[in-house]
Order: sequence, then structure tokens, then C-alpha cells
Amino acid sequence: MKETRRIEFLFEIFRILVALAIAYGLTLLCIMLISDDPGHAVYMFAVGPFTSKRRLGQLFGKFIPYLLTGTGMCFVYASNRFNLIGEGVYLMSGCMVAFFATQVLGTGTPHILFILVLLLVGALTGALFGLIPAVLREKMKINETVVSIMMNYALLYLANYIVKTKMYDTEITYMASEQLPMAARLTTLVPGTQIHTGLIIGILAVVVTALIFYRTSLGYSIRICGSNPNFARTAGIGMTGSLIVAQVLGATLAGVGGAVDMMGIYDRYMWTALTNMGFDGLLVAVLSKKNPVFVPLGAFLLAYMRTGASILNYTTEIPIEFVDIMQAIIILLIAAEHFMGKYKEKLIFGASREKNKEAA
Amino acid sequence: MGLDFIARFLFSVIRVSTPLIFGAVAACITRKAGLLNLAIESMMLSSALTGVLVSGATQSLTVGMLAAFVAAVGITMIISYFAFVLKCDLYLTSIAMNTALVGGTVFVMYLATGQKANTSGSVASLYVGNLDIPIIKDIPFLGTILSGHNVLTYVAFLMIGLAWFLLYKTKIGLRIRSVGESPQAAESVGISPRKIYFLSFGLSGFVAALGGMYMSMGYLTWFARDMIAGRGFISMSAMNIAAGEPVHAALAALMFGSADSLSNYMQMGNFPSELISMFPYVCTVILLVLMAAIRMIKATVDKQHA
Repeated sequence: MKETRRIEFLFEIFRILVALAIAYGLTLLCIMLISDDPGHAVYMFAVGPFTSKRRLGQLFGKFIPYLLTGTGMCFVYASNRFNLIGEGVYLMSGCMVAFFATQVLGTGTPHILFILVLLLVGALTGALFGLIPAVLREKMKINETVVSIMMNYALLYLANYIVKTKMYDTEITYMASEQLPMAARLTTLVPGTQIHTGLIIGILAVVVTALIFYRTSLGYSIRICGSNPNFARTAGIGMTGSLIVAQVLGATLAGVGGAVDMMGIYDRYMWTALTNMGFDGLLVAVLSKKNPVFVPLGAFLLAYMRTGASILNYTTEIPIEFVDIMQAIIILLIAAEHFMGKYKEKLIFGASREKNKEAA
Repeated sequence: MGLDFIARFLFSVIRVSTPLIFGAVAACITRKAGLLNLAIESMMLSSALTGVLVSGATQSLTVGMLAAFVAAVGITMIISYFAFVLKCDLYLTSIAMNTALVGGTVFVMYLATGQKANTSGSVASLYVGNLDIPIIKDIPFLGTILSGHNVLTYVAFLMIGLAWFLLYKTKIGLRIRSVGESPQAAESVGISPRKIYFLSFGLSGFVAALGGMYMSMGYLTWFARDMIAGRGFISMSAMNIAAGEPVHAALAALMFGSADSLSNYMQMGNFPSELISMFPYVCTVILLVLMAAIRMIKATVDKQHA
């Protein structure tokens, strides 16, 4: 049995690597086919993110919110609920943070207190809106996917409405809020880059989530409810409670992610379309196989790919949009249970036959 | 507020609702097979772009439309293969496909035309014309509302009936519904659920393709990035409110369409159009809650009587 587990674990890693290799290979092939200067383009995509301090900083600017949305989606994905509320919550939390920073709290607020209050605002926004699809799903059996997608669009329009009526800056030509006061911005850790103190919050979130997942009974019951609901029911685990908590925690982390991103990178609220960060969080959770310990790896990988693509976008003629295709291929190949499934069965079968032979 | 104004408003409701009706009908077909279709967005996007590009290149509307059908049905086959053969979560597959195609269509458009925003001006694509209905167009009020729409709008209304007929009056429809009721039971009498899933997704891709074509070859005459903009999801919720009945779903789609055109009209005034844009989404959630509440009350009442 142990042998089977070991094969399964190694095989999972192997499968993820194969999926990444296929997606990466296809991308490189694509770049070579459409670029006039393929060597330069491939170099920009693959090595570009590491070629300057500014670019590496850009990578980390993306990495930080991915850490938070990724761990958040781990909670949701591990409980086997397809709740996408993170998307809308991320945006709404950014909006609320901007609202509190520009309209409610004055510029006189001390820096640390300002940041803490805004983080709390982000987390509460997440928890509050995250509660709706979770409770509707667990108490009334309403499809959480439908509710969360509907709410995402509703939150987008609500945020636009709030910007337009409550904090619209009339001195600029595009739709955005007034500027956030300096006291509300996260401190930059490495000068000249986008690496800000949000990194600490992100790492903290990963550590705490990992502890909850593997060292508390809540984490255990979430994982069991997600992977084997029948067993959970028979074992007398309070499913409703665990699943609601999991989804709300996921939304809370997404909310914190939106707040951190807002305070770290932007100087005003300007998201007038869905940010796609909730979906990216799901991608990170898929890449890390619902295991918060691997979230930093998945988040880094995604941030690397996106930075490479954006560098490619402004240094060559190749549009950034091709990463969306690559991203989908990776998700599909990693999440497809039966992708290379025959090969895995063969390995396990072979191993147990060996063992039987030895025993005989 | 003249009668003429009302007539023109209702005309625009039908115009705006057309893609939603196609989408809602498409969603009903898979719903009856027991599957929630989150990929209408990608089916419409792929057919919208393909229709424009191919009709522009071949200068034949028929070939363009055929290609659009092939593209949308092709997408459903990829989704079905991943979901039902490789056992990837269906929702995950659909959502991944949606994001892939929002970017993917821009990518393909850029490769084909060198443009990233839209194809207007760079592709001489063909479009489906409008139709004046002979006698009805002369009736004063009704004529303004019902006549002069795009041909595909009339096809949409036809599609509602066709889908109803397919689901309730044919052998295939019976099989789709029986798989939707209970895949195991259907399998025990020799119906392969997997085949039915592929079939229902393919059919829904066919219907959704018409919605995509309407968007880029009727409503507008070019393809623009992300031009479906959530319409697939609104159609899906129209279906959800109607619990998969094509006729009711189409009515719900018309309701959402009126909210949409109302917000267009309101934009001219000072009223916050964002709040009206929120309407279909908030309305869906509230209706779903009401329906679930009724279901729960019914269940408790039944239990008390038993």
C-alpha cells in the first residue's frame, strides 16, 4: 500500500511536469512560428523576467497577490466546491479599501494603524460577500458556481457605481478613484521594484493556511468533506459548518489579496473590469494540487509566465493574450484525472506484481 | 412617452435579447442531460470570430456560417473530451476554456488582421440581413416591434420551439432527459451517458454558435475583443431560473434583455446605469433563493403529511 502511495505521489509530480512541458513547448513553438525574430522572442519570454531588477520586481508584484488568492482558492478547491466568488471579492475589497482610504480615514492616521484597518476592511469585505454563496450552497443547496458568477458581475457593477458616485476623481480623464494617501501604501522592501511588505502578509497566509490544513481538526474535516463526503457523513463530521468555513476563509483571503494589491501596487482604484485574479488563484490552487505548502511554487510559476508574456508584449509584436491559451492547457492537463492514467495504473500494477513475486 | 417610443423600446428589447435566447436554449439542452453549461461564453466567442474571419476571406456567407458552426461545435467536443473522457472537472474545463478563448480569439484576430481591438475596417466580412415581414410590418404598433429584425432573431424564436420539440417529442430528447434524470438507470437500459453528454454539448454548441454569429454578423458587423461580455452567463442563469424549460428560459432571457436595453436608455439620463446593469445578476440570485425556499417548504410539508 505504501508503495502505491509513493508511486502515486511521484507520478503526480511527473504528470504536472509533463503538463507544464507540453504547454511550455507549445508556447515556444507558437512564438517561433509567428515571430520574425524567434530567438529574441523566446529569450524575452523565458529569460526576460530575470534580466533586470525592475522586471524581477514586476514578477514579485504579481507573485504577492497570487500567494493570497492561491491559498484562498486552496480552501475552496480542497472542499470540492466550485465557488468563484474570489473574483468579485478581490475587486470589491480593492474598492472598499480605496473608499476607506480616501473618504473615511484621514491622511493624519498613523501608517501602521492605517494599514491594519485597511487589511481588516479587505478581509471583512471578503468574508461578508463570501458568506452568501457558501450559506446558500450548504443550507439551501443552491449551485455555488452560478451564485458566485452572478455575484461577481453584480459586484463589478456595484464597485463601478461606488467609484462613480462616491470617490470619482474629477481631475483625471479616466474613471478612477482619488489618490490613496501615502500613509495607506505598503512600504517598498526593495527600492526601485514592486516588492512591498505585502510579501510578508502573503507568506504569513501560506504558513497559517498550511497549519490549519495539516495541524487542526478544521483543516482535516475540510479535506475529508472535500475528498470523501460519504466518509465524512458516516464519521459524523459536521459537513455544513466545515464547508461554509472553508469557503468563507477562501473569500477572506481573496479579500486580503485585493487589499494588499491595492495598497502595494496601485495609487488609485481603477479596476473597471473583472481582474481575473480569482481565476488565477484557482489556477495556482490547481498547480499546487490543493496543497498550501506548494502555493508559493505555483504562484511563482504563474507570475513568471505572466511577466514573461507582458515583457514579450512590449518588446516584440507578439500579443500578451496567448498566455491565456497556455494557462488553459496547463489547467486542463493537470486537472484531468485520466491524463496518462493508464500509465500510472501500469506502474502501480507492475510494482504490486513485483511484490507478490518476492513474497512467493 | 409616446406609443412610438414604447414600440421602439420593445423592438430594442427583442434585438438585445436575441443572443440571450440562443444561449438560454443552448443551456437548456445540456441541462436536460443533467449538466450545467458554463461554456456558452466560449462557444459564442469562437463562432463570432470564425464567422467574421471566414466570411471575410471567402466572401461567402454560407461558408462563413458553416465554419462558425464547426468552430463552436469543435470547442464543445474539446470540452467534452476533457470532461467526460479524461475526467477533468466539467466546471473547471468550461471556465478554463472561457478564459482561453477571451485571450485566444484576440490572439487569432491579431494573427489574421494585425488588429487587437476589433476587426472593423480590416476584414470585409459579410453579415446576415434584416427581414421585413410582409403583412405584419404594416400593422401600426406591432409592426414596429416585430418586423424588420435580423433574420437570426426570427431563427432564435424558431429555435425555442425546435429545442422544445427535440427534448420532448423525439427519441433523442427522451434519451437526453433520461440520462439527466438518472445516468445509472439510463445506462442499465443500454443508453451510454457519455455519448449523450457529447451529443447534448454538441447540440448546445450548434445553438450557441447562432448566438455568436448574431453578435458579430448581425447585431454588429465586426468582431470585437471580449464581445460576448458575460452574455453566456446571463443566458445560463435564464435557463437556471426556468429549470431548463426552453420556453420559460426564453422568457427569462427576454426579461434580462429588457433590463439591458433599459440600462442603455437610462444611460442617456442621469440615472446610474450600473445599478440597472446589476439587475439580471441580482435578480437571478434572488429568484434562485426564492425557488429553493419554496422547494424546502414543500419538502417539509410533504414530510408532515407522510
